[in-house]
Amino acid sequence: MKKRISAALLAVAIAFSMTACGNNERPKEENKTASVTEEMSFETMKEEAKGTTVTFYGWGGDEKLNEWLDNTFAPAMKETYDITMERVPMDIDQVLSQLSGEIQAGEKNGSIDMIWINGENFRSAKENNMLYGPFVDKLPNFQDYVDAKSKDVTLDFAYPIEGFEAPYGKAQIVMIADTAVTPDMPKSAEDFKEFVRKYPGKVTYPALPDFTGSAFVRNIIYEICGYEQFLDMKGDKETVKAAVEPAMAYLRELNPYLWNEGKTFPDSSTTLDNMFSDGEVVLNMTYDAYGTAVKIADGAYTQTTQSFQFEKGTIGNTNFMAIAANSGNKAGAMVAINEMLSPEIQADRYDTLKVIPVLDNSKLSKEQKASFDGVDLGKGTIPQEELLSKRLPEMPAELVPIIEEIWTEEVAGK
Amino acid sequence: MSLMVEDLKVVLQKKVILNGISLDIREGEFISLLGASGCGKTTLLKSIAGLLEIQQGDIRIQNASVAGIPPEKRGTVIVFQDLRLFPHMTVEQNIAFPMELQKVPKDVRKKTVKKLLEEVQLTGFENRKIKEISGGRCRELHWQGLLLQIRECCS
Amino acid sequence: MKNKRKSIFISITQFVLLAAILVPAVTLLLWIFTERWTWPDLAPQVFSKRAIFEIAGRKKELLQILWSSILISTVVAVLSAVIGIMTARAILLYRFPGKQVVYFFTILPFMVPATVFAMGIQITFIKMGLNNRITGVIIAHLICSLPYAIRLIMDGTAAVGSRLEEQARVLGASPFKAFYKTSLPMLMPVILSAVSMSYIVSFSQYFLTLMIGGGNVKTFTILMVPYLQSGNRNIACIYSTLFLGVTLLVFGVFEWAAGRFMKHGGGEFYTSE
Repeated sequence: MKKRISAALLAVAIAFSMTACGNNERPKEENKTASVTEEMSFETMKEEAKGTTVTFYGWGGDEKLNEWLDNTFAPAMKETYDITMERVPMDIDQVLSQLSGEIQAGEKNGSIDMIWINGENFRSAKENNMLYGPFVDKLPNFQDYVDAKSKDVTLDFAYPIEGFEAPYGKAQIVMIADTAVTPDMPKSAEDFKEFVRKYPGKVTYPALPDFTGSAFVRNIIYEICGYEQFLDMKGDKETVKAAVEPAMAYLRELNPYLWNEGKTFPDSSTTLDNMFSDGEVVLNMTYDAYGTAVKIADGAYTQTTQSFQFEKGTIGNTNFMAIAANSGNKAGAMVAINEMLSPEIQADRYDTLKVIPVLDNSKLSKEQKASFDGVDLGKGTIPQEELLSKRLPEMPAELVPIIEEIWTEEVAGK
Repeated sequence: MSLMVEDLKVVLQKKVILNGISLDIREGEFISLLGASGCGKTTLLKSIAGLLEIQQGDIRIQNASVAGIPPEKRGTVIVFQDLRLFPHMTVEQNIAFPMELQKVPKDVRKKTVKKLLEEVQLTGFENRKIKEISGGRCRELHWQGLLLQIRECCS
Repeated sequence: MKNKRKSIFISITQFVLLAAILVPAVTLLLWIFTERWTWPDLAPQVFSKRAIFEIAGRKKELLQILWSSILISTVVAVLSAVIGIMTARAILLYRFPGKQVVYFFTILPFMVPATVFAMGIQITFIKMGLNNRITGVIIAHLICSLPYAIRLIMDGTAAVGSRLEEQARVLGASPFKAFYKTSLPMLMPVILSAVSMSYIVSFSQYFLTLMIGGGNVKTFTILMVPYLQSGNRNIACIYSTLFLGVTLLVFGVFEWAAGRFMKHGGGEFYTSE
């Protein structure tokens, strides 16, 4: 009897002690109002941020990136600035959900500091005043090493950034095939049609609105309808529908030769990737242009796998880091973002993760340039100059869901 | 022990089960209550024991009102019509239950149980689990054992 | 003859059920070491220890997160059982106004999807200062697991009834002692089920912990789910195996604890002869 009661009391005591000392909780940080941070110089920010924690919220499904963030970036931050980085794995939808909930509830000392974000999500966050900024002009590395005039840096899916996010890494869509299985790789939409006829039932793309599938369809649209007209197109369905009709017709023609005769499509790019590794389809596509090398090294892909692009180019975009409007540690976040833009960190990221760096080559010193050039991209990849020379810009973010809707109505299962 | 029931009214789930019941039992008397099934005999017993709330009237044991006194402190015991032995306990634990509550020392308990079981020719059954005993034995044990318990705890 | 057919049928059913559990489990374990496994091969072509390294590299962090996740879920399980017992008794053994309403509230979490609940409660919790704290997460998990605990324990309480307690009361036991010595041992199996169910409901929560914990409270699922979504199959498999293994271990502990309590023989529902 006594044992039972003391066991129960112990359980309750543990519950309460956890709330009291909270071993999973960060110490609450001093609240700095936005205006005070704005007036700070970068040097002051570094001082302010010493000994604090900065949280970085973003997708957690890439274990190599997670490892690099935890074992390379975080220790560097601790050593150089005495800032503790805390990485929180969370999908961007959830991050924005939580952020909007916190802001709505009037939380001034938000749990989110840095956010990995881009595209439509960035646009809706910015328009709803969920982000802090403009801040990139305060970052020394941004001034020194980033080409502030490049469209990659001023526009996110053709939407003006206005200093509210800083570039993190570049992505570009490439297609992947095993040259031992399919020696001929399509270089254009025409070739692609031939390719699909040659390997019936073995080619497909992720169903929209998957990020990668959507980009593939946009790429086809660019191939067939040209890309310039979309860059400033109005976001109304009729206009867009008329403009993309030739591409939709093309895609419908492909359907009978696709995997499962185009009646259904894989639900996401990861499914397609697994289907490719398993040999169920002979074509893969990804935004992670150099991921192929990593996968060949791991053994997930065969040694003869190769990535390729269309001659006219493939869509590329940049992904960014932003700061939450109600972050309790804006100074720390800025120091962290600044550090992410340093040539050393960018080169290390390029070397370890093969992520395309965001810095302007012309602004780098000879030694810095050498550290980038010296990176061995590994097998099965496209050399960076070639990749970037065939890089097409993204269209305005608001057109993307419209096109996804049109595809679902006009192509899927037709 | 004398028992007096005065003008008792008991309502269960909005139905009046007992109304204006009065009873006077003197010390040493032995009473039988007879009535058709469902007329309220068990209700009366439960009310006297303190298991049910009364709406009106009074119950007095040894001339002192027991209103507000919980069942375990009233000194009354009921032998229920359905078998209410504690199935997860042994025979000994069942019989010794009230003694354990009164903090009677263990060896006294053991001796008393042994003596009682001998009296009803169930020697050696101390450590049998109730579940293991046959239905017929169970019944016998139930009646014998509980009567003995009453004898013990009410004396 | 009929008996023989029946026993063959039973054996086949048992075999199929066993296979249905074992085959995926073995595949799961195999996939931990697999890098490339194309159809129609029966075994992977390329093996790798990448998943093992991932876990080994994070040993300290993983142990800490596992420990705090187990603690959180155990607290939720114990609280669910206690509240479940009290609620079941109140609804079944007592009369009070508004009983139907109370009962309705206990099954409300079954009807409201967890996502809707999470988004709604988040704002309330922020205002109460419970957001981003372990207490908030525990309360949120409790709300999800209580319906199961209450339902299970209600069934048990209905079966056990109050007869034995009444007998104990007239023999001199206080209300608590009567419950503790007679009903509680009988209820142990159903309490064990309720505790296990509540534990699992809490341990597997992802979205709710994410929203209420705000990234501040990290449980094992928070680490695991992104890998499940990422298509990185070997990493996903090793995290899943860890999840399964830890849960089985905890259940073993629960059973042992319940067994010790029941060593005096409790454990079967007793219905009147």
